Amino acid sequence: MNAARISDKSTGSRIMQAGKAILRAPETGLFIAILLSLGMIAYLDSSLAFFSRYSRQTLYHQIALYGVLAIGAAVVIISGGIDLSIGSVAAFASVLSAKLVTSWLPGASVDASNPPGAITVFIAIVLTMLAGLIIGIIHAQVIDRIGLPPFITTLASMAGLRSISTLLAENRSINVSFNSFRWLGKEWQNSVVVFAIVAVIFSAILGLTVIGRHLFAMGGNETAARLSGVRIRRLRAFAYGTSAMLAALGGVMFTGKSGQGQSTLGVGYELWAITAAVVGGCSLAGGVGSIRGTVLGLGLIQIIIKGTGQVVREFEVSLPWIRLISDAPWLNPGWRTFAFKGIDSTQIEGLILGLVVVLAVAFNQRLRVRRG
Amino acid sequence: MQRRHFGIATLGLITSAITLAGCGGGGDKAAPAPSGSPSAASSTPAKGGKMRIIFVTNSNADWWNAMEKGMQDAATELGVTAEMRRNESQSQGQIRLLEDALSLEDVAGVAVSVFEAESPGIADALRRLKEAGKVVITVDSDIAPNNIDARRAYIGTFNVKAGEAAGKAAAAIRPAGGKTAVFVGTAAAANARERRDGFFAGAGPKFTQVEIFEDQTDKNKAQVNVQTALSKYGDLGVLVGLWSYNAPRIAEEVSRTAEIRKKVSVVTFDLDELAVGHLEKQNIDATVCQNPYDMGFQGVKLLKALINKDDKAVAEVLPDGKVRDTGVRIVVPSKASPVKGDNVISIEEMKAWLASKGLKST
Repeated sequence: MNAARISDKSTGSRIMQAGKAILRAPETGLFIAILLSLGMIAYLDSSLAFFSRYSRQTLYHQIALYGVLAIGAAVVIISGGIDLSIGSVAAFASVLSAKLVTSWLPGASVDASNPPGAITVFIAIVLTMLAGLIIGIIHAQVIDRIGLPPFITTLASMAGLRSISTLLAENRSINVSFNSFRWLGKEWQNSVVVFAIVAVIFSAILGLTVIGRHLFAMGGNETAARLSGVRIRRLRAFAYGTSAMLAALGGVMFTGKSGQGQSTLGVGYELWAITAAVVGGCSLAGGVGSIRGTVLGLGLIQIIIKGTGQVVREFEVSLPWIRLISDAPWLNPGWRTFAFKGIDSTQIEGLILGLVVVLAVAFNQRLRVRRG
Repeated sequence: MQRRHFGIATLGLITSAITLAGCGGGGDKAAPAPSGSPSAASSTPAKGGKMRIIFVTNSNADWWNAMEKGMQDAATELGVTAEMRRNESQSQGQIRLLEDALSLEDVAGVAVSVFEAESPGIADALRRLKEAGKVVITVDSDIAPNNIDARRAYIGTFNVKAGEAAGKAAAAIRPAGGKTAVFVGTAAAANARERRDGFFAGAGPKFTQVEIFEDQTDKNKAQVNVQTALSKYGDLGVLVGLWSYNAPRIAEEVSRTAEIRKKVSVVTFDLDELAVGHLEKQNIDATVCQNPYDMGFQGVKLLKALINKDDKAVAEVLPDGKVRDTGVRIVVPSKASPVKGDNVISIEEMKAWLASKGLKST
């Protein structure tokens, strides 16, 4: 009887502890924010179109495409660095892969009725990712050997790679309309599978391997990590190599979605990737963060952007309290015609996203300070 | 050690910069001509005695490839050198390109597609070119009437008329009208505003705009906007793509399910290469095409005539001495389309015309 009571007590306390651990987890806040956002969207848009199958698929597609970039950004941020070249690497990869499958590789073709074979496409994608990896390793080498700050190194790449992409593309889009190349990015299911594989691999590397622990140590205090015997140069090459390689993969996927290799692809995408990582709990000071947090952060951002597009309608914002105020008898009649007329969702999504980023990061920081 | 590496890197960068600068075209003589100065009163010919002409675009979309082809065909035929300099969708970028043209002494004529009709900075840059003795015309997108003195002539399409043609096509395809979503890079751009206004004027009161979706020329965003519109407005009737790249993004989304395709009508502008296949598959009901090839061809012809002060040749291009309208064609999937008129052609006829000019899109 006593033994059974003790066992019940210990099970109960274990459940309590697990519950507390879940509540304390940095991702819990994000999860709650996502649920609140979904609730808000459902409340404001009674048609529930946001939750339709088609709408959900497009949301998953967007999360998958940007997610590949965001995971690379998170790895670099956790290691204590920053990669501003993600968008330009994606553009370079877009042009390079399109050139490879349409003209440079044996078996390349521009003709949609006679598309290049699977091997040609596979080689093109592998070579493109390899090029991304090399770019990332060069970033790490420049940071370590020349001593340039990561911000400057990747800023230079951001400008330089965009220029190289424009030169390679001869200032025009390269059409790759055949499905054998587009499959990675065209259909949402394929993109989600690729993203899930990438997320699981890098989550495991960061959470379960020595490399992962060393990356956190390096991001937290590089000098201490070096003195403890951590091989900083190799780790930095791994972090920047990962970021650029995933940016290249993202470039291939975005190219698949649009059907065109473009040097103008990905302008500002590095900011999306970094924002997702930061909202997801990665500290720009390094040493803190997770892939699952980054994925949730990206999910929150995409839900808010898509939700804004869904909820905001021209000539009217469906916020009941605005109607309440505008109908109030004490209000100046001129004010009742609220000046929210003529707005489009695409015009205000940046404002709403900015507010959410500030709130999410402030919340994360407060949580971190409380935990000490 | 680090200092040595830094030194090597700096030396390498300086050497690369000098090498690149050395490769930057022997014809570019960097001799800024101050506006209004006597030395700026005329332009000297390029190397080999060929007249040099520059076209400055307002974006770097594929649409310009057709104009470049027309420009090059005319340059070959008329024995001049013509080159295109593409702007990256910014007013400041276009001003910089115009200032570059000013600093090139051997450039005798400049054709520009004005990024923002009302931009005082662009108007000032055009005036400085004019004062430096270069002939300035506008193509495709004209300067605002209050700055009309900044250019000699305009060659292009009147976007309001093009919009009206698109609106009339929509009315023919969908006589009952419907809720309309509009897709564009920047809604504030002059051609976007004019096309949109023209569309609703031509389509009539049965067509109502529900929203304009902007994408800032991000093609992924352009497609996401179509997805948002389709899920947001269940009773959407018409999707209008104002800029050329909007067409394939709309067509790809509406063709995903037969149910959506049946419900909506798609009217677009210009003929992106990827849109050709969608017109053949009837994923686009009609597209209003300008003639950028002709704009490029006539632009070079006019600039040469103006530089040589050949009044007869000028009159050939400009019947009224100021403006040439290169017109529009409405391309439909087949002759069975309800859209009728003298300027309506099928995609097959359009493809034959494109092939005759060595083009894949307009």
